Amino acid sequence: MPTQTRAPRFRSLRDGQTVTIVFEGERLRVPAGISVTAALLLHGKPSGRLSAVSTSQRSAFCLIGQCFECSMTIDGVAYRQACLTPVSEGLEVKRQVA
Amino acid sequence: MTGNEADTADLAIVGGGPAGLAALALAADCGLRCVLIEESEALGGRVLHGLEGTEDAGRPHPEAGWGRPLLAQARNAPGASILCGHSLIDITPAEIAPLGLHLVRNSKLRTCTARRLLLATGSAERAVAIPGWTRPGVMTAGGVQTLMKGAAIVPEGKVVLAGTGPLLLLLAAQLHRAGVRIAALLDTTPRRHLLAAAPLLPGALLWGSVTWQGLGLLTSLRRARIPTFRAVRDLSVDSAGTDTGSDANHRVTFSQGGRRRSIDCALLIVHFGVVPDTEAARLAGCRVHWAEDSPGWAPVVDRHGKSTRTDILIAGDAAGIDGAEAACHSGRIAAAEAAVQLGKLTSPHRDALIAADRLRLTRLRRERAFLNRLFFPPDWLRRRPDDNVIICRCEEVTAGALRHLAAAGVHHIGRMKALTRCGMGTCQGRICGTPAAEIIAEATGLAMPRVGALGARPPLKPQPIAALAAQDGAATPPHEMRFVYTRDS
Repeated sequence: MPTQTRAPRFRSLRDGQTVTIVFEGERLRVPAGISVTAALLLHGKPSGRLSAVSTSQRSAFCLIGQCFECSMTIDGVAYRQACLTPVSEGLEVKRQVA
Repeated sequence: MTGNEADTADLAIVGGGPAGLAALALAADCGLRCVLIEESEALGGRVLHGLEGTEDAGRPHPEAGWGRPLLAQARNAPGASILCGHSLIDITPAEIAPLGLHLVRNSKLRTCTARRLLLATGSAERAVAIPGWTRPGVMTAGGVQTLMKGAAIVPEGKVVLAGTGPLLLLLAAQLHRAGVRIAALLDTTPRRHLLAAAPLLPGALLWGSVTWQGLGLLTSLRRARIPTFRAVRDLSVDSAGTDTGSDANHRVTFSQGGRRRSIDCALLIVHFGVVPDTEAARLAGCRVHWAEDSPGWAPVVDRHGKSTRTDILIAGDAAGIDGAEAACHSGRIAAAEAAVQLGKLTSPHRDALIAADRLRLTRLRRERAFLNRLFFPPDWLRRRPDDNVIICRCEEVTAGALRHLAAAGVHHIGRMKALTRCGMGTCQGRICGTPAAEIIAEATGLAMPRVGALGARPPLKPQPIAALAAQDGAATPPHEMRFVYTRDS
């Protein structure tokens, strides 16, 4: 397994409705209506792929759908861009090699 | 309006930022049936991101004043369909049938046709490769701002901002207001740029708005006592060696005035200006040129917004970086041109309709000339990264590998891609295409047009085969589709 590099942790500026997503089997409560990337960063989790070349952990870089560092397997579909995918109740997010 | 009507339009607009929204409002007023395609779940683009749907959230959006009316105008445009959350993956030409636009939403393909296409795809941040930029603790300024506007989240630990350009100052002020601890602001703008840009300052102050805003930001950043280092060089980021128990596990190193310094942080935010997003334009076969004053590829467009393809117009930052206010004007200009081409306006009517837009655009471009000169990203940043720096983030191709082959006679970016896999990963060269070409240009002494821009191929975003097979309605499959296969992890 690749070395687990921590991702920068973010904090929320507002309270509101939440949903629960499942990241690598772990249930995370996150604000409704935000992107998968935003949700993972709130929990200090890397929102990104494992490099197919070096297996290094990446995390979202551009946040506008250009860099594909946030490629993740979401609800069973590989190569979804987590920064462009909204969270929803029960959404399953997994890291992938890409 | 029903889905069927969205599928055959007079004018299709790609991009729901200021240019696309302003274009939609004017085109609909002229009687064109429009469809607007936006990749995000809400309208607004980068600048107005997070504005729609947050009316009651009680948090102020910095661009609400002009953004809300623009959004409302577009939402209420007569006879318009707005498709949010749709990614454009292919454009098929109009030789026989109308232009075909192939869209994917939730792994489902949908095709619509249009007689004219207006690309308002906006900008992307200029990629500058620094040592360590693939670490998870490095993000772009635009990215952090997107998270702030869209998700209302901010970094928890100490941050360092580095680079050059108006957005860097704006973000620093916004983060400070939100209570984020800023360990340092590292400004890479060389001192000589201040002198070089000075003659253009009066025009910028007279006609522009960004420059005034910038002066205000500088004052507020000074008052906030944010440690600022100017004329910074040799920027890099590495592990601080404290991966547990500390929120500052990244070490940013730089030199200033001949001294090496290091600052630890939880997040390094980089910004080196923005460049037009030309993916869709290049896919459609529109010609691009190398813009010397703000280094980057930009599509060739005339004063009406016409590209080198007769049925495709380009407006806003996608046509050349002029900023959000200018994008509204160039969006309207291009929409009026589409209305002329489709027989809804005469040329004299068009000229009267957009006279004020033209005047304002000319004036804003005088300010842009000042900003371009002041914030010109220096050659050492773009063209001379050390040999061990990763240029292609997807395939981990280094600057040294590119130089090695360039010295051996590989001078075209397309050939370099084939030999090194640089630009062949999931991002398809969106990030590395230009930095790699600039390294080849520097190593060989060739001009950028000789080194070339990477081609853009369908699908513009990787899709599962099932998405391309399962179509909504009676759409025709994209021609010459070249698949990016997905695999199960």
